[in-house]
Amino acid sequence: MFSRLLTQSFRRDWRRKLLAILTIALATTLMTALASLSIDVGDKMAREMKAYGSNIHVVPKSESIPLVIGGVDYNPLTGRDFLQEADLPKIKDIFWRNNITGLSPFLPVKVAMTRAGDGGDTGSEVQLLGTYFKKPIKVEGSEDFMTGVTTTNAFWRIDGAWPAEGALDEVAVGEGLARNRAIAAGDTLSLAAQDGGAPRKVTVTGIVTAGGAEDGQILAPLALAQDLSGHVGKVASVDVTALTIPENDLSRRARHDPSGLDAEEYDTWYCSAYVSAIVHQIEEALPDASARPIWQVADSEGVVIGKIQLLMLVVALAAFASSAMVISSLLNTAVMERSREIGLMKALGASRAAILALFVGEAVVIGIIGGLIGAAIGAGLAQVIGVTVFGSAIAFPAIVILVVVVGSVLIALAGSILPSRTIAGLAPVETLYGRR
Amino acid sequence: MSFYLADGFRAFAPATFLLALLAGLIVAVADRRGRSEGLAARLSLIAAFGLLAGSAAGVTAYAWSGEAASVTEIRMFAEATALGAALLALLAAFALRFAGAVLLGQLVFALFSLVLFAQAGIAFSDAVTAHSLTATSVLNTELILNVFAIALTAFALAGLAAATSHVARRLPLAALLTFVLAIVVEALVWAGDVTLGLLQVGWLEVTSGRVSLVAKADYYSDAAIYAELVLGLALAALFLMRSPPARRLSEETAGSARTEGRKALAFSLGERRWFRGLAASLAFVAGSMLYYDLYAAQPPALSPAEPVEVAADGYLRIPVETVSDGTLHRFAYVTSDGHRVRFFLINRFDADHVAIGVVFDACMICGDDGYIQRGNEIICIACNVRIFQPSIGKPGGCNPIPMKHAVEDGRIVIAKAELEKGSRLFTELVEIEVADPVTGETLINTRAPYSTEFEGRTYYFSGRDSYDTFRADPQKFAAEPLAPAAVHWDPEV
Repeated sequence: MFSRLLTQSFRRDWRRKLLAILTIALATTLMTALASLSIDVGDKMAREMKAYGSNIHVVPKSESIPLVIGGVDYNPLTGRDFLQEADLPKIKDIFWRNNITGLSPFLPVKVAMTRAGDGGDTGSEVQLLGTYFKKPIKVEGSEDFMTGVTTTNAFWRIDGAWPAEGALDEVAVGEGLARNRAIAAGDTLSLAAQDGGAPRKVTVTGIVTAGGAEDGQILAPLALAQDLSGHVGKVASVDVTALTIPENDLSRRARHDPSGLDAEEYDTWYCSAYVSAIVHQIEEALPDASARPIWQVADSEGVVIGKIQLLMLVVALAAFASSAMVISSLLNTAVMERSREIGLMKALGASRAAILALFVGEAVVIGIIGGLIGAAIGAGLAQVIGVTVFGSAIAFPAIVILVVVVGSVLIALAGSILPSRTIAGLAPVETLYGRR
Repeated sequence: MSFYLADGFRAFAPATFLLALLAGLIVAVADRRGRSEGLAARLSLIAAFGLLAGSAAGVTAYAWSGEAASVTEIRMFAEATALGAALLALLAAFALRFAGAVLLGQLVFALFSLVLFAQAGIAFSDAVTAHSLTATSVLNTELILNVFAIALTAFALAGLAAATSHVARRLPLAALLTFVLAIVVEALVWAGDVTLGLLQVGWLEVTSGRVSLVAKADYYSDAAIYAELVLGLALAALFLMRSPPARRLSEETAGSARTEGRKALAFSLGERRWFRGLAASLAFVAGSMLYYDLYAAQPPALSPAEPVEVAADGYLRIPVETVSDGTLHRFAYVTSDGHRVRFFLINRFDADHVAIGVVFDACMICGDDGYIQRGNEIICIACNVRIFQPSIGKPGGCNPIPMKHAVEDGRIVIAKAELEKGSRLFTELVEIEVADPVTGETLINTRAPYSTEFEGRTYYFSGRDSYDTFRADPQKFAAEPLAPAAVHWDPEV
């Protein structure tokens, strides 16, 4: 009976129903676009926080003082302060030492590069990055610890061979630089430090594809970089990879302020492999260093979305409220028009709830149809926004459909509050007489 | 998300069920006196207020714990209050049923809802504190699912409350019986918890009788909600049997008989709807609980451990090639005092570089829950830490505890003395025959009346006398320390 009444109502009054569906579709298009934008970034951030591995960036303490104005680094100490290479094994000596899977020190040097056979001009300036490739590090209790970019940046590909560890005459060249300057494995380069000094002849052992800034640089054993720059025994930064467990409330609080934890919580935190605990322990081991977990999404898109999230919520609420009002007035008109029908039902003994169920049922059907249409259009809109704002397509999170359908059913339900009061106010006798 | 459903039901379903039964009883009594107009709405309002105020108070009290009082004290206080309120509610229910004290019933209902929901709020906060609602502050799928689960819990419980109170109103006597039984079940759980709390904060002296009582109460407390669901199901079944059958009208009936017939049909159909509503909400609660308890909350199972025994010369030998394939090979050894000691061997590197890590299946920090291998990862079950495979065999962090061993002719050699050391790391006991060190009598370790630990070994005694003799001079009776291994030890460990 109920479904028959419902279908009848849609068949008879399809124009008004269509209008209501369009209203809801419009509101949910907006909600879908905003929600999928936010949820996509949120999901990526959540994945990052819940990963079982983390990268940690260690720099000298003076460099962690932010002095960046308008994107330009004004910190006078940048590039002046260094970490000691001899201190690196200390990182493998912390409480969670076994969870440190690799570490790579970095020391950038600007050098003038000339290819042998190009004639004797001064050459052009390129960045040389000194690091470990696969270096055994002396750590007490694990004599076999080998580390370097081959473990920390396992996705780097080499065409050829990695330079021998500690060799002063072997380098690898980034893929971009090699293409620009037509360098191939086996070539001989001449590198000269900026402050003068005799140029050094090196052999290219391979071409590296890193997918980052390293593609335009020369990768060399740390010893060579130290020798060229004159910073013997020093490194500028260290990248550490560690096996960690997902962040939770405790680690978030600890990250904010470890001294705010009570003794028991501090012990639990310190003895759990949270990235924040490992970072804290690295800083304990290297007092003049500052360590920071690298969260790529959280540090870029996450910041943007975090700031405009409230704005999105307000816009979504405004869309919700205005479409609920439209639904309300549409339904109210329908109730008034069908007052005789309602009066008849009441006279036959239908309860108020039974009649209301009919109108709410209509509203829910309208909500679901409108919501699905809106979700489909909104998904497209989200792609447009994603491409224009972030320059990348957005993965459409499936949960948005649930949110939007629940949201639009709620719109429909909110819109039927007022009509339900109208129904209650209708007296069968009056309506059947046609007084109202 | 399923833990929010299960924890929500475990905390709030008993309170909802009890209050709905009481509400139904109150309305039933008022029905008899013809004074039930608007009463159901008033009771819903009271319960809603109790829910908001009570659970807000509970959650706030839990959040503030640590400053004024510990979580144990707060839980204990809330449960003791709930016990008192339950007693009061029992009295009120009888007064209601047999003396018709409707106003008293309402007052007690208000008090009971406040106390019960406060207790539920604390229990819920305590249960979900291990989970986080969201990993980041930006809207994400997990956050939405969790919020959705909480809303679904509230929705299901509202349905349960409405249907239960309707059924209780129709069957006041059965509802009274159900109410009494459900309160007894809950009171037992609370009493066990309160006793445990009293023991923990030291207000009650620890005796073996009390500890065993608390342990039993704790063991059965997880089943309490299932007991209440069964009670609810029984009530629903009774309701279905007692409600009038839906009789279609024959064409001949006419006049006022027809009107009455239609009314009876409508009533009966309505009652059936209530039955279906109650059955559906009970089934949903039971389904979510069962899914969580039997599937989602199960710890990952350890791979089976191969039982091993040491050879006559006191050494265990395991060929390297049988354990060098990169998977975790778990073994179990039963010590002379009956402890089942698990240990595992795993190749730390790859097929070309064989280096076997020989470790106990336990961690210094997390205890003897053990480790599992999932894909390429070795995971500590207790704390979910991934273990860096090349580091297995080295102490520190959450690494498995290394075992002394040697490699001889392509075999891993472990001394019996090393395996026996595991008895202090593992709690699992196997029933074996042991000898009383004083009298030499043979007895079963798990049934021995007295036992004590000495130098990491457990000794069992047939009676008080031999126990006392041993305690007086343990050195004299203790087993000879096992000879240290005479092989060349791997210098690394």
